[in-house]
Amino acid sequence: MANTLQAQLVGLSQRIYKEWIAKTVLVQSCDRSFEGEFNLERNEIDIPVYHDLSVHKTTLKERELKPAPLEFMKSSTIRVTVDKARYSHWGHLKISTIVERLSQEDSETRKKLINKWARDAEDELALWVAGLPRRQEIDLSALLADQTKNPNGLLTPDNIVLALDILKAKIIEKNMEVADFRLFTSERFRSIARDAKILTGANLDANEPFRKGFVDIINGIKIYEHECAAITTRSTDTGLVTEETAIWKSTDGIQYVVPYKNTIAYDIPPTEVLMGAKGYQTVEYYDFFNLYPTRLYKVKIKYVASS
Amino acid sequence: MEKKEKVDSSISEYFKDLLDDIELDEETEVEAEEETEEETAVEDDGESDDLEEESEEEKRRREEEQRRKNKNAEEARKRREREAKEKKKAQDKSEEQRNELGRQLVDFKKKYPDIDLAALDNDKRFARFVEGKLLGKKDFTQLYEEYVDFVKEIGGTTGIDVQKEHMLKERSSSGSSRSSGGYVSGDTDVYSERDLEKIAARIPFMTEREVMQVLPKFEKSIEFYKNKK
Repeated sequence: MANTLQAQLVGLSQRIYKEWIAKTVLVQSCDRSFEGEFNLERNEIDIPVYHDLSVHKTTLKERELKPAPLEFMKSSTIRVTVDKARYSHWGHLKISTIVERLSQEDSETRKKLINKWARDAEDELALWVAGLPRRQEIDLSALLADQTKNPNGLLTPDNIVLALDILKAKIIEKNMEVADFRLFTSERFRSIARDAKILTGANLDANEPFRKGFVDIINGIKIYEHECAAITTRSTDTGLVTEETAIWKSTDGIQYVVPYKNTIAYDIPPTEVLMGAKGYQTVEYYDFFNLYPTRLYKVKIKYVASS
Repeated sequence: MEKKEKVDSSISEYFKDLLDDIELDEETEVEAEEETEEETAVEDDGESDDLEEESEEEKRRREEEQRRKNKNAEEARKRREREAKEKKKAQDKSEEQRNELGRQLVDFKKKYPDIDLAALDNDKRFARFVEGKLLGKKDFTQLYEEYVDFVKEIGGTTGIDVQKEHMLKERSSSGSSRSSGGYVSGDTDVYSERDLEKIAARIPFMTEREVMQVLPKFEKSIEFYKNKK
């Protein structure tokens, strides 16, 4: 077959995507589903929306008399324009070399790429959440502030349960399910929970430990640890986190779509390479959306500066 | 006696003329001959001049009758020919439609070799969907693809789920290279070269779920063709 190498590159692009996604915490927690085929000309894709199912009420007698209303779930997807892309050039001009380097089980080249892409995607998403408007912010440092005991509203082992209760209450007051939400924090939050002796590990369910970042279920809330330095402030002395923007979200709080993944050839002009040549780059088109503002919050947390 | 001889000669002349007429008109019918004989019998007692005039008139009448009959026969023949032509045209059209549908089904089978046409035929929803649309502006493959999209749209299922309902239940267990245009992988098969190229072009656009379904067989197929070289 003439295009075996090209077909291999297609498969490798999918493998790269799967591997870098598995290395993320935030991106992996998003709803990544989409429907139909990405329109490369218009950069459009349909993504599912979940809250448009109507509840019809009737009495049993009335229902006997009237047939059930016919309802097509046309609005169960929404068309969005994808506006972001990431790509990496491969420094080889021979497709066989690239395939060989990438397809080995323990390929260092592939490992480097997936680590970089995972970190970059996590940071980008975290920074975007940190920039959400104030109506999607829960400022725990303000809510935990006590003029006499804790004027700066720091999160301590004494008030960590109260902090989690506040987060739950914000969800319950909007008639949503707490079980749908997860809290993504830095490693400092885990330290505080450990110091409060409430981090037991006894609540692990069968699946969660295998997902990257999962810590425990504390006070009924699933806690995940992210590694995004971009949304934390650290002490210059100890390196410990002193402030952070945690993320309190449901799966559909962020819809993260990657509708196109490929490794493609591009022309290199003779000015760059003698006689000109073909170069290769792995490309992904992606974007993320917050369709339900009430299902995504940034949480401001402050910690004691030094222990 | 003289009178009797005269009558005899008149009669013989009449028969002579009559025989001449018969020789001239080869197409004279038996019926006409019988009439003539009857008339002759009657005329035996009549005058010979009258007989001659009547014979001329009768002859014209018969000719007229013959022309009318010929005309009717001609019209009937034309009508039969027209009807046969129309019937043949209808048969040709029906044959053409059958051939066209056959051609569309062959194309469909090429694109979706794993779809069982019998299962599709038994699908009442599909039958309702294509009712009145077959051999229209869209071919069978387009109608099937529209149906899959439609069911997906209203039912919330994926296109693959819909196709699975129509998949061939039995697969070749020989492990031979068998063409498969569908996106469901089998453990013993590899994709044909043509399908492999098509799927390679589609994979960059697939959802994670779709990719998971084709990737094992896809990679196996690549290995197969690499080793075949």
